[in-house]
Amino acid sequence: MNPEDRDVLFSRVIDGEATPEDWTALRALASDDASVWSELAALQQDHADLSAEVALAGEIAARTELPVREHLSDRMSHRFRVIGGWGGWAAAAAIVLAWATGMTGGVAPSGGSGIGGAQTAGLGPNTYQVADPDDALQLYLDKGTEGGRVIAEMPAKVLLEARPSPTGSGYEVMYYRQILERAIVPDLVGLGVDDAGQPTAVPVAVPAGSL
Amino acid sequence: MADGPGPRLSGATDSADADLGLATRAVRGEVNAQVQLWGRWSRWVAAVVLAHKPRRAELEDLLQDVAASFVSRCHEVRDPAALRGWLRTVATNAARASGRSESTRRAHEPAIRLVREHGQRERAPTEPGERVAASDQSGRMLELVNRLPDGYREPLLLRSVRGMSYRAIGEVMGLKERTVETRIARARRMLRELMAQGGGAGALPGGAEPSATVKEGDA
Repeated sequence: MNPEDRDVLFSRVIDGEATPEDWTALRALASDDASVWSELAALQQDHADLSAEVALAGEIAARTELPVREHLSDRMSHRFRVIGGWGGWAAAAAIVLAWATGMTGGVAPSGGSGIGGAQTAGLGPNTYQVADPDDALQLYLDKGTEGGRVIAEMPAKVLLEARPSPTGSGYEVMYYRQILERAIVPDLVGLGVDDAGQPTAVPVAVPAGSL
Repeated sequence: MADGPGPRLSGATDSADADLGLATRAVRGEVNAQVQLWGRWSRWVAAVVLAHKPRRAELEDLLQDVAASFVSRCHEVRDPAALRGWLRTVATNAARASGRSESTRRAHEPAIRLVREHGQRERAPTEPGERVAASDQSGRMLELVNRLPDGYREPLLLRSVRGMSYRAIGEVMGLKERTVETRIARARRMLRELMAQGGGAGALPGGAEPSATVKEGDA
């Protein structure tokens, strides 16, 4: 076996990529020269040491967050500047207002419209009409509030992105809404790291009345 | 034995399909997909930066630069399948650009040293970021890897990232799997011989010079 093939063989073994044929070749090599094993051990240790140093860099990388919020903010500012350029600030304000009223107008109470295609949830006197996602959400809010799980929906929706609508009319906005819930849980755990650097659940002690 | 190691079936189970799906959404501007991809890729991005950054550059700063470029410019990539290679180029360029600023900084080194001597004493690193910066200067293996020729450092460091298969490294670097495998094997041999030399500043084994460059695609 030439030196390069030998290096590749050792490398495959270290990387856990060796085939049965590779192992056979390695055993044959070692039967002629027992120093193969110590050489392999040294290469394996080099790999482990280097992996540990690279893992430290990976730890930093994992903590590096994408500056998404700043970027979206820049994009929105740019978009509004463009809109302002088209029709002045009045036009820009009108568009924002249209979005705001469209999105924050709340959810229409269920049962009022009774539009065709509505599905009913439950039977008997507690029959709910779920005609669309808004009805479904309102039902969840109502039932959640009754049961104590839902405290409130936060009034502000968080805008993630806005872009011209694919239909060519208006804007497509992406946002998330926030609903405050409560729950009773037996234990509190947080995310920690064990001795091997692996993510693990860590119990969290919270003194009564501290939250 | 004369035939050397036989052909190897790729046992790598990298989730290329999932990555491609996320990349498709990311280049469309979907923030969630961008965040998920960064979570999946940032560790190998760090390895790429390590392979190309000058010794004294701050890894954390460079990663933040790369992250900012990723989120602000990934929509410029037309082919989602090319996003991984594009990000590698961004990381490489960021690292090399810091090398250019490092040259400028070195030109002003005497003035900087003067300010430092009159300023506060340097403290020991305590935060993870500082530990890596310190490790960059004292980590023996990375010191030696820095002496390997271009073209060998990056695949070796990428292979040191858990879960990076030869195939995945080839996709990032635009190399054939076999080429990746050969370069890693050679790099390990050179590294071992540097270790055997005590890590001194001698010529690299096999006659390779520290400044030698391997063209992408060469085995």
